[in-house]
Amino acid sequence: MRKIFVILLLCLTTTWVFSQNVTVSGYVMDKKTGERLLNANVYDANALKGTSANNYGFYSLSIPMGKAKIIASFIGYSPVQLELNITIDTTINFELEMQSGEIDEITIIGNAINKVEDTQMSMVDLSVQKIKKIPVILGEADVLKVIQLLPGVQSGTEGTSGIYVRGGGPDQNLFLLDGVPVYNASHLLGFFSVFNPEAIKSIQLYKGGFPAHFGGRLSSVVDINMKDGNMKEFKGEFSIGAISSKLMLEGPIIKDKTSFMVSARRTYLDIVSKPIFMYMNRQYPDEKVSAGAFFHDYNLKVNHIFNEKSRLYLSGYFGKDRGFGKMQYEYSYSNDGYELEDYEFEDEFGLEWGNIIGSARWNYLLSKRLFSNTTLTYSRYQFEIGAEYIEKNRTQKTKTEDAFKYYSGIEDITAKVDFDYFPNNNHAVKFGASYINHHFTPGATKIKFESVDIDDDVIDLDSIFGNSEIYAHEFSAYIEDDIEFTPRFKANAGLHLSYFMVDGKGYINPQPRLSLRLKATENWALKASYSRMVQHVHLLTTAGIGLPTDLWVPVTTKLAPPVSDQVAAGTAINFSKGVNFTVEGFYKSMRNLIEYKEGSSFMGSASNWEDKVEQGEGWAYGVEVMLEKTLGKTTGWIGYTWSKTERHFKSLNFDRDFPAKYDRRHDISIAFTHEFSERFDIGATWVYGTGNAVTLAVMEYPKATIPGSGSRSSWYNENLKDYGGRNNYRMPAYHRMDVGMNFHKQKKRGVRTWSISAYNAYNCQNPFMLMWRTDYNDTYNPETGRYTQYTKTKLNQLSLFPIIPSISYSFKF
Amino acid sequence: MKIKMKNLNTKSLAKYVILTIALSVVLNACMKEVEFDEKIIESKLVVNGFVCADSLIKVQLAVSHPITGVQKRTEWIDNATIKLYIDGEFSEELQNVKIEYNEEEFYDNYSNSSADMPESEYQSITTIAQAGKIYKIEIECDGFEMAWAETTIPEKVIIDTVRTEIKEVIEYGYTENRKFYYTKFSDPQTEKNYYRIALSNSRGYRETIWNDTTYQYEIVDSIKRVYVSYNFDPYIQSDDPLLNGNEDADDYLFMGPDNEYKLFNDDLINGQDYELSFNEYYYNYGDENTMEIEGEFEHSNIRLMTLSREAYLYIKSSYEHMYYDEDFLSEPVQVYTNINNGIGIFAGYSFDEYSIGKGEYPIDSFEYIYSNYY
Repeated sequence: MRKIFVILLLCLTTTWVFSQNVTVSGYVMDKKTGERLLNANVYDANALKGTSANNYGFYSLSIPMGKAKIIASFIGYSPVQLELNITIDTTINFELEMQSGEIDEITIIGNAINKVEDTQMSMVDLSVQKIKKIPVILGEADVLKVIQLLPGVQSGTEGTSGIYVRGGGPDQNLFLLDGVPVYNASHLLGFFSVFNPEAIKSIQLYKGGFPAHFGGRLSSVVDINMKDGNMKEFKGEFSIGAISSKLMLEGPIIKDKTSFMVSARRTYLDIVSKPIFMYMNRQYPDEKVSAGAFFHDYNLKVNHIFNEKSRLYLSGYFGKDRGFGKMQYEYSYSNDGYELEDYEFEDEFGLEWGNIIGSARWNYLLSKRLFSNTTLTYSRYQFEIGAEYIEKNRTQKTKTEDAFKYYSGIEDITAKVDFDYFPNNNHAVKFGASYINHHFTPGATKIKFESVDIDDDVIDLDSIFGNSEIYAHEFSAYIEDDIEFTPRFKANAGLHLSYFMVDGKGYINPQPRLSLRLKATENWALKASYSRMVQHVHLLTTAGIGLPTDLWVPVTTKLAPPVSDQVAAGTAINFSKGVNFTVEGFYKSMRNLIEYKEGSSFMGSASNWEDKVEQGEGWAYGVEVMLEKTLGKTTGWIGYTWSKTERHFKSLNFDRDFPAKYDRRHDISIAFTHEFSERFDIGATWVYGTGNAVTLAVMEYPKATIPGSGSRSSWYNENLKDYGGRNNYRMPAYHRMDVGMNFHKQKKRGVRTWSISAYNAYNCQNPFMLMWRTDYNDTYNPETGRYTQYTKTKLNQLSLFPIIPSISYSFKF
Repeated sequence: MKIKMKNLNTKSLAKYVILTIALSVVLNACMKEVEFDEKIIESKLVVNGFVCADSLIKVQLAVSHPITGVQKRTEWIDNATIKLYIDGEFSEELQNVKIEYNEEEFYDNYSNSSADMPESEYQSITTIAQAGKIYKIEIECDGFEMAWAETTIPEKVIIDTVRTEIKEVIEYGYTENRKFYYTKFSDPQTEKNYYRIALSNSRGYRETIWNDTTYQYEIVDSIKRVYVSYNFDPYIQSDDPLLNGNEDADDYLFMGPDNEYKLFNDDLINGQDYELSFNEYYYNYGDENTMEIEGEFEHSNIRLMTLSREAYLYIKSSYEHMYYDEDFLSEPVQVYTNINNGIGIFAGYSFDEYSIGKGEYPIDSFEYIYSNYY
């Protein structure tokens, strides 16, 4: 590693010393809102030198002294051009205006990053506008459901927001919200993601070729930035949908100095279900039942500019899901067969889960070439489930109370510092270090039992078991350099080094990263990358439906950290009118993966979870093709993925390879939006995927009589089922079309939008689950005097979502 | 006194509410019949044989059949050749022998069971299985590749003592009597041991006649007739850590498979003396002096079975397989097999039995009438 540093330093200093350049630096921002434009381009047309702004809109460009023609551009914005005579280091802040009117034809909806220019491959930059226009279930715009439409990303269970990237599992995705890891990215059992589009500025998905500043997960990074808040004027938006309502407000606290953004969202499934239970309770007056579920979440961000060099961001997210059920009834029962006694029974149940996230980020410009960001973050995910059962004997005046509470969670406190260093135009260096204090509470159960008998004697029990708190420490450091060797050949080389310590055992993992770009022509680039990724946490889950009981646990002294090595190669071509074409092939190997042993519960595992899992390996390879149109009235993409994903665990599937649950040979997605006018636009998506691999019994055979057993077992003499292997059967293929349209109208105080959409527009009955169903027939045989049972077994498919129309209203002011 | 409280209502409500939340989002699930891709069907040779120490070696052969379509009766095989090897040396060819069932066993043909009972099985003629030896079978059968399997019969572990105690416990908020058994044995240190503990009970009650004067059923000295009933393998519960490997906080919440067959291994007790405890629901049919009446008895047989690893894995996985069958939220469990080129089990075991109880049985002067299980 020392060698790498030396080479890197030599490289940087030589080019620096011999140049006679000046530095132009500053920020690129939106003129109307003051929002910093991430990855905007700044280019000197005279020197033919350019650079990209960093994640905070900061750029630094070295140009020769003298006349310069500097152009700042960002896709969807009118470029700004300045002609200056620059003889000393200069600060220039660019304010770009969003294109409008006639030029509106080239309104955004596309990648901010030029796929040919950038070294980065396997990355997709999504705009929030695009996400809002793409129709999804129940009309709820959802970041992760749009990500599911991208090549290389498989969706999990239908309707849920889980993502499986290039053969990875659901726990191999790092979701960052303003740089803070989000552990549970879903609401309402996975049907919605926690990222409220109203509060989001930018979304980037990395599937491979990971830059060295990312680490901690094997398969993907979803980097989401919240809006900073409008620095110029007070703005807002609210919407009312079929299942939730949202409100977002933003504006200056001190104009051009301090701004805020706040958003809130709540679903109303619990309110909708109330009349149903009221009706049920009226039918059965002795029984009272109520149940419901809802979630609410809030995003908050405040930022303050101290001066040109210093800026502070404070951001937070708070989200909570709640489900509850209550049952009350009365009955009479005779214990001795003579006298009736009156009983009252109450059973209450509730579960609650959610994330709390907070971050403080301080940008400080150490020099025109050195940008720093210091971050303190807090992330907590907590799950609680509780129940109480009370039975009262009103006649005898006795009471039995039985209660439990189960809780689990993870809490991280992180401190990190990142630097962007621009020594010259041929290098863009990032380096930094971080420390994470992990606190895992994989599960504890609190039990309370109280019984009061007729003599007022009390039996009392109040205890906690399964409480196993784990503390772990994670250190990491990285350095990467985006090097332009020649105008045609660029590379991004870096190293991410991590050290994880748990229960006195330390794991050190150097993770080299390399991305190469060779420009064959101005619009055609060849790319290749290699990245090693390591993660130090596991998610214990089997169903893959984003249950709140899924548990985050650390690697342990017994279970080594999962490691992946991914190589990818591909090409990117820019055609005219904003049409991009990319093809990428990848191979990813993974080791130290975990899977539940067969039959282990899908629900949260409180204790001995290490005994319930197996460690093994996996590999995935495939080809992804994407044809994308990012400019004009019609935008969208066609994506196709061919891939294969397999796993091997010594103790599973009799030591044989088996396909991963979400292994799909073919995956096609088409998403497009078309803007007919300022008042009307439409969107549609169509997806097709090879059926999921499931473990389905195909043969039956007689069970051996268990020695020492009598006839007590109800399964005595039953047949056993032969699966022929784990994930041995393919469900039928999945395909679906969603359509939506938006009607906008300028009102006195803003723009109102009616959105009408239909999920699964042609009502395809897609497979959710396969199961055998048996019809029974009894036939009496008069000769033997016995009945004989004949059965016929058929394969049945359960489908979840038929066509689901929805309507929502929003108003932007 | 140990207190164990579980609330089935709460547990089922928990699962119910979680599923209800999921399903409440699902507006209209629907089910339809789909075509099954029969290309993946492959019939396999099924070999079933648990070999007990000091017994003949018995094996049943069948063919697995597709799960789809009209259910076929099990196709038992009676024309195969099974060669038996002991410690690597050929011993004999197993013979196909007709099985004699009693009426009760055969009555199972009309039940929910889907398996049929074989009319014959393969037996050794001269070989009696002995602990410590390795037994291998090779099966040649038309239409199948030669299948083979081998197992070792483990040495039996002797039960040192068994003591019993009747206690009151609170279950679901109610007080009930339970009979606790404390079984002491020494685990051999040299090898890895797998066990199953099983219980069987028998009770004998004197015949009574109605007394018109006292309006009660009474025992008459002259009628020396005893009704005997059995309970083979009654359901037993335990808080013993050896028998509760599957239980933790999750199971309290969401339930998981019980240790139905009371299997355990020596991970926690290797080479140690151990007193294993378990209990069964106990109902005292008469007053406290019942078993002091001549002829009446109440006997329990505690059987400590020492299983081969193959037997342990088959029994454990077959129970979990059944438990998780059709539970779409859990990964299905494939049943363990040690049959090469086939499925099923060929596994050895041995056992030691300890009897404990009250009352003398049998007594020559009494007539015993055996009734069904209780």
